[in-house]
Amino acid sequence: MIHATGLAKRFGDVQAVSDVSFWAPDGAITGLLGPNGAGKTTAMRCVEGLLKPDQGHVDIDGIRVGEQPMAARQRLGVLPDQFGLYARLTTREHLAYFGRLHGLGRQAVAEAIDRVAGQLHIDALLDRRVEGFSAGERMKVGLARALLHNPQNLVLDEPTRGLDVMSTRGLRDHLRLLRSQGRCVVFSSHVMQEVEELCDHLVIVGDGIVKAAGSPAELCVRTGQSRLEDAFVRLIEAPTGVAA
Amino acid sequence: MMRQLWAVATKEFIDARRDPRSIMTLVGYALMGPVMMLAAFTALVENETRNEQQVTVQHIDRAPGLAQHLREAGYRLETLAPDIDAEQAVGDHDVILRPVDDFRRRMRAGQPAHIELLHDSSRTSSQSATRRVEQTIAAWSGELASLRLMALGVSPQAAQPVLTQRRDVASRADRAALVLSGFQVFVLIAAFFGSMHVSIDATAGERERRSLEALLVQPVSPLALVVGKWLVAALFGLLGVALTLTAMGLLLPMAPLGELGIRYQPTPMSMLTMFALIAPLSLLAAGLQMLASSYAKSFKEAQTYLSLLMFVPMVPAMAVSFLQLDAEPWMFAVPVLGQQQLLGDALRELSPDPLSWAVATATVVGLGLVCVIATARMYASERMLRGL
Repeated sequence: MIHATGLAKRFGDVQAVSDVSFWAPDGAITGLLGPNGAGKTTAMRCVEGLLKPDQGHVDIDGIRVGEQPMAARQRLGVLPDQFGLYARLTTREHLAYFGRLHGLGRQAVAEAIDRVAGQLHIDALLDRRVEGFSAGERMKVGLARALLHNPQNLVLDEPTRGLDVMSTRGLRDHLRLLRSQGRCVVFSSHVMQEVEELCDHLVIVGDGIVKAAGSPAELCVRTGQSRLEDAFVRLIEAPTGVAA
Repeated sequence: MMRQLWAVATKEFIDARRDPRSIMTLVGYALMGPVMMLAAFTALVENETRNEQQVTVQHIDRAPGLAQHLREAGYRLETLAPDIDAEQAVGDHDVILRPVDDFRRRMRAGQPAHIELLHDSSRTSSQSATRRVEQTIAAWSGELASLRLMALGVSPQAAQPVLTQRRDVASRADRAALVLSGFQVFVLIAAFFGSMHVSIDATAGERERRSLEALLVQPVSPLALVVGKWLVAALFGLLGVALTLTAMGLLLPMAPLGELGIRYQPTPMSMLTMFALIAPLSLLAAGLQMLASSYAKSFKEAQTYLSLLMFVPMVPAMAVSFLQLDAEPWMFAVPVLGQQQLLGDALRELSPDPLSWAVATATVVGLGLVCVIATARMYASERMLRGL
């Protein structure tokens, strides 16, 4: 469960985020939706503890990120937008490295690798070096790394960018599986179709504030639109968010 | 913390070991210095000995006595035809000896008779050949002077009220140290070169490949991350020093140092001593490189910073050798310069002074730690995310 309250963050003259609050419950997929430069990445980085918000705070499973960043991160899995892999390492070496960074011992690391490899069907990739992997394979390795320490919460930044249809479907199925296990999944995206299909709950971010929040269907009803894309455009262009 | 630090170090080591460029900079540099020195010494000795027995002459018939003296002194005379422009020809000869046209008349009249030596001062081979021929002519001139004085009934000694005698008290090891100062520079730079690629790859490279964010969101203290990376970079610096010393130890005995009057026999023990003197420097080198590369957004930017930075620690050492300052105690507390002084002592076969070593080592290790802490603070700050 991730709870962000009144996040504000300024970089020099730029107010990246001025008031972002959202609640991402367990057993649900929450989508952070917004145009480029809306403040999605800044909000995500506040959640990950990489940025200290000027105002507001984030709680992960009740642990305040600003006060106990290490404990909060133990409960968080992250898949960054570029997956961020090391070309010269094998999949197994990646997983072992990040498992040990989480403080797992040798035995625990081996067990965790077996577990995620089975879940994501990447046994064939384990002992190959990452260079030369397809985008879909890289995504799987990145996801395996994020899930290795069995986190209750998973944050994904535009995870489907550059993926083909099969890989996108695979990722979607896996996120649904995580939801059914009662985990909290938050992801940012531009792709309406995907968001509509996957998310239980949407947070529309624009100009550094939350413009609206609710299920895709609710947002459509609220704006009187039949398509989510039209609802989204309405909400982003509305001067004062939800009331419109 | 220790487990995480070790995890970082292990990963960085595997990553660096598999990077052909890391290995190439390490091995390439380690071999370059010794090979260059071997070539330089061989060329130097060849140059000193090559033209010993040869001199180019023109119009030598004007001075038959000199021709005979030169032959007796062991020179082989190569005659240049009288119609050749000697000034043009000097490019192909180290020195051309030419008595001027009134040489014989002035000689008979007891006036100073002139001999032209045409040479090219921009060439070292020409310089040394000219010096040798000049000395030979001066000796002949001295003999003639003595003969003339005796003919006048004066003792030749009257013309030599003062005589200088040179005695070189520099030990052979001292002379070796002078020639081998090039060796010092190569070994010192090896500490910087060995770690350079690894330092960049582990910092700016990680940013460029976009793996940094995934790393920073892990529950790891920035200090553990930075120290792990630092230790591996420093290890590569150490390998660079060790390889350079080994290559020197194997290649230098092949150089004709004996012909330069230098006796230098590297032993495994002296190599180990030098390694112990230089080793701590690699901690500072890696720290400086990590700090500078952490500011860089890309691999290339970091390379630009580091190629400039490489020269900064060398400045005091170079200044001291250019100004030819003698060793002073404070020099041991200056990074790189201290190591250079210690290395110089070791090459002079003096046993290193433990206190100097301790001062020099404490300085570089201390500064290396300062760099590491500064880098860790940088990793902990939001500035690290800029450009991601």
